[in-house]
Amino acid sequence: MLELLRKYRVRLLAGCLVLTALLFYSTNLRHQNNTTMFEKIVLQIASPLLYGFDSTCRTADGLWSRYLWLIDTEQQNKALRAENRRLRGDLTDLQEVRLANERLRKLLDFRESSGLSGVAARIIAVDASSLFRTVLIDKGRQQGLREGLPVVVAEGAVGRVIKCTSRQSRVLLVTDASSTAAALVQRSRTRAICRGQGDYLTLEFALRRDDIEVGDLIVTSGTGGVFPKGLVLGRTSNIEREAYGLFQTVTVIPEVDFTRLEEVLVLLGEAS
Amino acid sequence: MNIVVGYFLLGLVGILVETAVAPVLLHMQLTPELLLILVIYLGLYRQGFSGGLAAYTLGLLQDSFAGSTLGLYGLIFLTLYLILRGLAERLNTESPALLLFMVLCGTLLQAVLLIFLLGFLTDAGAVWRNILRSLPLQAVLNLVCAWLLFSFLQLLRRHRSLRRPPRRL
Repeated sequence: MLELLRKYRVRLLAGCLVLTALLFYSTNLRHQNNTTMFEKIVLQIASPLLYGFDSTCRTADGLWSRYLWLIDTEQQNKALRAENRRLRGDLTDLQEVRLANERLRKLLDFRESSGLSGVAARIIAVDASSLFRTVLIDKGRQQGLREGLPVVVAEGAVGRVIKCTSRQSRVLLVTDASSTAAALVQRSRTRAICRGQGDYLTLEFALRRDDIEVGDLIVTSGTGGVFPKGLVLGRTSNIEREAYGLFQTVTVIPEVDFTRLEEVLVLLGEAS
Repeated sequence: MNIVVGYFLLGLVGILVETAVAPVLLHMQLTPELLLILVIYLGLYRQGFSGGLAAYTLGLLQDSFAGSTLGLYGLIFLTLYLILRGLAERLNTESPALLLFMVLCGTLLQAVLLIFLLGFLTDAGAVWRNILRSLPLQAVLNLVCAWLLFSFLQLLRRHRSLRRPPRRL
């Protein structure tokens, strides 16, 4: 027996080793998610070496590609800069489109809520003189406009059309010194005439005893024949009542920001 | 007639600058009155019926883009032209400073005429207050524009004289 073992010693040892390895493997198959002590040790030892090697390779590669191999870098840089400029321009355009969209959406909401049909127009020029307050819009008779039509924005009344050509119209703003509109105080229903003064408005023919307070909203009364009833003209900011006299002096600050006016809505009449 | 058409086209360029370019560049209510400067130039250096017609045409052009009544600036510009024509023979029109001084006087005179015409002939409310309020800054703006235009003209003249071939003796 011993003779036999001695004779096949190598083969038997090899078989045992294979069997042990197979058992170890089959055992580990059932505990795949557990890190063995062996693995831990090996990884702990190997990690700094691997890290060192990796960083060395990275440094070498960096040195080569960033400082030595620079054939296409300038061309790439130029291309990227051009693309950056183009994308910045696109971004600005998109921002402008978004803002225009918001403004037009406001106008559309106003038109739908007021129940009036209207034509949206863009302001293309301002008055040639510093004394008058008129603007030129890009819509005219071809779009159904005519003299006397009211012009509004979502914030309130802007003015009325005074000149009309086939494709352009001039609008007299409510702030112009020659512009008047029949108005009333929203809170107390006091009637008066709202006249432009250049940058602000004044309420004229408001009796001294009439109930007007600072902060009151002034709206169109609808009796002037131009503006429909209820359009906002502005808010009272200053009231002067003299000791004598029939009327009080009321300053009205327009709700519409005329310095930032870009799109307006020309009201054509009742929506069909 | 060519003079009238030429000044009308120049005025059209001026109007475009006043209504579309200047508001974007200056960001304020005031715009330089280029047509007024043009009328003053006309009054000092042009004579006869065609000059008057050109001044009136420039006024009508201004009326088409300013205010609400056609003919207001026509009348003002024509009046200014006639006054300047009356003075031009007594003045040294070769002096560059004269144009600037006349622009200042023209701005003031235009304001006076505007107050008179709007105050007495139309229901323009308290427009005189707006005119007087903006007058100092308007005068400065017009002066600056006139000086820039005059400098540009001088440069053009100098450039032309340099390009001209020397005379043979």
